[in-house]
Amino acid sequence: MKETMTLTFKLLLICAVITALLAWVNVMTEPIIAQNEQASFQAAMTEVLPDAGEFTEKEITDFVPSETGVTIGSVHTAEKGGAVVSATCSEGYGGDISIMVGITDEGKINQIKVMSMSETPGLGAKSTEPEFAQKYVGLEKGISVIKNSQPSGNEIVAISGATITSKAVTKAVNSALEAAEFAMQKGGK
Amino acid sequence: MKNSYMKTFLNGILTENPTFMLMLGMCPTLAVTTGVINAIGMGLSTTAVLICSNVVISLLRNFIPNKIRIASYVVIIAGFVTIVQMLLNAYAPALSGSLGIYIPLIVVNCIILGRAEAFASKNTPGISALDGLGMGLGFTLALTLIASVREILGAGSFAGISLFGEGFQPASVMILPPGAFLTLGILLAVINSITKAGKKAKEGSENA
Repeated sequence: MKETMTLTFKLLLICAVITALLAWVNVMTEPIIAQNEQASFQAAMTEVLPDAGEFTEKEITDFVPSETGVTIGSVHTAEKGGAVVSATCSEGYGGDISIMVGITDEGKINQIKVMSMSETPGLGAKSTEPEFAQKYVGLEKGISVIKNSQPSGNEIVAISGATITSKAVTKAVNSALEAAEFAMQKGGK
Repeated sequence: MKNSYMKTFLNGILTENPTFMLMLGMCPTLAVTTGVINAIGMGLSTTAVLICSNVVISLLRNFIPNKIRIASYVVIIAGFVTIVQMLLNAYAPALSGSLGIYIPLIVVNCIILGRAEAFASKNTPGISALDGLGMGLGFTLALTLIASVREILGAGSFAGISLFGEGFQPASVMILPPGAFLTLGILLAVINSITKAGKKAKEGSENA
């Protein structure tokens, strides 16, 4: 009995000290981490829609994307016209893919940016490369994904060997365009 | 005295290299070696945790009762890894972004628990720290070697720098899981044959 008490007490003590340490580091780093996330989000918004002035977040609770598997994170309309939408598609090869889309006030894509993904390096992970983002510039909602041929009109060519990734990103982009249209119409621009 | 410090340090890098000799930490080895940068990042993070956990466990070696030692080691190691993760998230978010899921995986990296049990619990903090450093660097070198092979053959680049021209068709399989097993297996075979040859030569010269 006494041995069990000693063992229990010592383990409790070790766990208590570790917990206290963790709590301390957490308190110290939590505000910095939140700041970092804010800063990188703002930087990404300016990257996909530069020189657009101030961003105001728009409420989009009544918006439902026409595609399944996509959640809209947030929509910000820009002072000088256009909008930035963050969206996540859960149908990537390795899970969620989060993107940010800068959209002009004519409903065309200015730039996209893949914010996070867990796709295969060398294949789906190529979706973070500028060559891939470039494919979406100037397109409007309803983009379709094609393979092995030249794109014409509102189409993009999938990454060779990473069709699922390409489709997931496109789904998110299409939903982002819909959300932007919704927000810009609601706000009266 | 100095001799045994040096011996312990080199032990982790060569004689008892955790990846090629002790065969510990295989899961992260296979997963993280898709690129040289990731391999080095993971290796150095693991080294940091390994040194810290070895020192702490060595300091507590007389306090932790034998019957609850594994539970205690795991709590201490998990605590350290979580602290490293929070610090990285706050002060080096770019690195934390690319190491992503791998950081929590350090907790279950058998090298950490293995060295705590085999070395730190039976030695003083100073030399335990050296063992941690040696093992960690040995792990990092092993990871970098495997990642180099996989990245060069599988993506045609080294540390993100493209090596060959546009026309190079990389063997994508090297970047995928099968490539990890292939690379590790072949490297193990090569290292084993070198070690065996070395041993034979040593025995030969001792007998002669």
